[in-house]
Amino acid sequence: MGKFTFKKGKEKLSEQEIGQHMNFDKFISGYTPPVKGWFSGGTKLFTILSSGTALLIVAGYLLYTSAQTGDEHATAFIQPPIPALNPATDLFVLNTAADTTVVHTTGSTITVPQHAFADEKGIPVTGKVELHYREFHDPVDLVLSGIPMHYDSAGTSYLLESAGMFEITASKDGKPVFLLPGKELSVNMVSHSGNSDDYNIYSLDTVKRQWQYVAENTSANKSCMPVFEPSPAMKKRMDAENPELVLTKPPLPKKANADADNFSIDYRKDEFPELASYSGIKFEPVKGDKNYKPSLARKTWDEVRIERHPDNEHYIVTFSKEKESHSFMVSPVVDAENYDAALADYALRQKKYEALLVAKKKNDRLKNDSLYRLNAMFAGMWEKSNLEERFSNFISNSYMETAQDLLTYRTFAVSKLGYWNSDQPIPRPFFVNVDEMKKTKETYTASFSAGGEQLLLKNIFFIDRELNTLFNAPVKDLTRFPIPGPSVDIMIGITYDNKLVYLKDEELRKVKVTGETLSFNMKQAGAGITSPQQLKQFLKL
Amino acid sequence: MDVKFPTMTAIIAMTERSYYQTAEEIDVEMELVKAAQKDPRCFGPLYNAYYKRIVAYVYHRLESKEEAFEITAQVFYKALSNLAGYKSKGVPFSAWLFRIASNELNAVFRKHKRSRIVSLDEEGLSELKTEIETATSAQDEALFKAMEQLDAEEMELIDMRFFEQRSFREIAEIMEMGESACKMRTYRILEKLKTKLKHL
Repeated sequence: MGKFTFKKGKEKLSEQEIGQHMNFDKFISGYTPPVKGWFSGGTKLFTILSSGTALLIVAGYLLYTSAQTGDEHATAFIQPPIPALNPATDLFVLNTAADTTVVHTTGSTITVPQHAFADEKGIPVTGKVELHYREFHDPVDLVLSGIPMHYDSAGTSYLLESAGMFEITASKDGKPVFLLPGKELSVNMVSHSGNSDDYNIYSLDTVKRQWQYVAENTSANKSCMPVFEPSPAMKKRMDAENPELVLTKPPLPKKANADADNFSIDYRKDEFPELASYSGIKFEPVKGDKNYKPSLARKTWDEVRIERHPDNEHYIVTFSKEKESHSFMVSPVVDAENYDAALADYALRQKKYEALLVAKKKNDRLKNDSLYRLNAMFAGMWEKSNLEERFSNFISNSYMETAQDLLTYRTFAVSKLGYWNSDQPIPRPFFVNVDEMKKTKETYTASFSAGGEQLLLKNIFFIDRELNTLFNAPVKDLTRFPIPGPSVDIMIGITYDNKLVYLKDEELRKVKVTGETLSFNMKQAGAGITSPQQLKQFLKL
Repeated sequence: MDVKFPTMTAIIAMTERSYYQTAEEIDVEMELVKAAQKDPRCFGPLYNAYYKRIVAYVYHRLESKEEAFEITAQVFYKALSNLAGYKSKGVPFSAWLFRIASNELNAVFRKHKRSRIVSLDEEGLSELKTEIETATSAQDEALFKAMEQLDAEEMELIDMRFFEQRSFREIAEIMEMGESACKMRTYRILEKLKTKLKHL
């Protein structure tokens, strides 16, 4: 038999024949996605594996599964400080044969595509699967979960300010299952942090023991459930209680270049408050801007206009006379004799600006909290009600609006099971009173007590409620224990026998180094607290 | 679940037209690929766009229509299974599908020790004869004997060029070689056929 058989006049395929076989629905229904990992090689590979390579494969499998959910790595890494108060997980039972969307009691939704899971060997599972889901929204949740909030990026340590976090895992018949490669769950998590776009998506790598940046903020989405809209009177009251704070970042003063042109402009100080406090401010054309020519400075103009450049650093100056007009970019500069004063003024204003920034976040959060509570209550009602009631409510309830202006959600494309967070990194020193520590040149030792008894603490958390994060204070070396910074609202300690002690607000402010001691006289949380919710109520958080 | 596809007009245009695509069409097609990488159900438009051409390619090299449909199904199954690794090289997605089809066919020929079918048509045969300056039909058998001595890749080039009427660019992209190299290779094969015919 030859390599080739030459055929003349072979019958062609007809459109009808092709039509009978070309059927995507049939094709896709018989399709099973490949499972990547050690098991993807197929049976042939197995027959040629030596025992040595088998060991490698097992290691690969462990990495695959442990990257997806809690295992011994995660257990060691995430240690709820009081196991009895570890935030509870909610359970949903899904049918793997169909796309499913479940609604959590918070109003968050989880969409699971069909055939999304595989067992520990990578074999797709069918039938019922249990989905385990819990959310963490406030500092008490964070403390009790034991989930770390530190984040290292480019050699710098940050804390993650959370707009909400969740853990999602799955199991079948009590055994963990994993997401198949290429499958993604979509989680629309209700967030209490408003519509800010400052939060990014992170997932917790329990093997590398760190948060991993996944994506930029997916922008706060909105649900398709009705929302509680406060009445105009209520809105006015909320605004009065928490007024908007207008922030203008002060510009860093620049020294005038002795070799460059500059000129003064008589601008309105109320229009440009950021420039107002610098004495002797002048405007220097930006080097390289071809629109500026020195000859322009020699002419007399009818009008000089100044406006902010979008980069918030420069300004645009326009000289005009009759039909002639010239615009160019300038930098505000300070002449040499006023420069030191301007720098001192800048430092002061920058500090005020940062303090205002914190206050603004606090205000924003208070506003969002008010709305969140109302909306969460409403979302609960919505989910519990049946369709008929919903329709009836829709018709009769004047608070409702359809579809769009709704709860704030953040969307996660979940490609592996585990912990996910919507966060923004903030510097760690914010939680430590650096100024106070600088004053204390000699070594001091921190000591903790409650009711006159000395305490040995296994965990100490500094909590900033407004920023919704916590600082895990180091407890191994108490000789330079950090002094809590001004933004810390509450300090929580956990003893080795799982008792919770705390210090908050004014009492925390009073703590100072005396001689060689930094003494924290803690209070013990009331007995009989058996749930995170009770603890939140007790601490008024 | 809502799945957003690129414009249907663009997809229809791809199915109706020949192998060639504009850069924009290739980009649209890549969007489809990305969607399918995330959700296999999004593979539908690509399947529908290329099914006819792939089954024609496969059947061209086989005797049996049923086997052609079976292998075509395997081609799409393999394509979807390996889609996660697909990266656009600025050429139509179909070039990748043709390569998968070619590999599948070669595997079948090897496994079953079968000869590959070369489906001839008069137009292609006439063109090939002109190229190698063998004008009469009486020499068909001699030409087939000469062609029998080509290797599989050489035959694939001749088949695609003369009996499937593909351009050098298309052949080059399917076989992952430069267009000039493809032309050069074809002319060398034609020279080889000429030489062999002289010695038969």
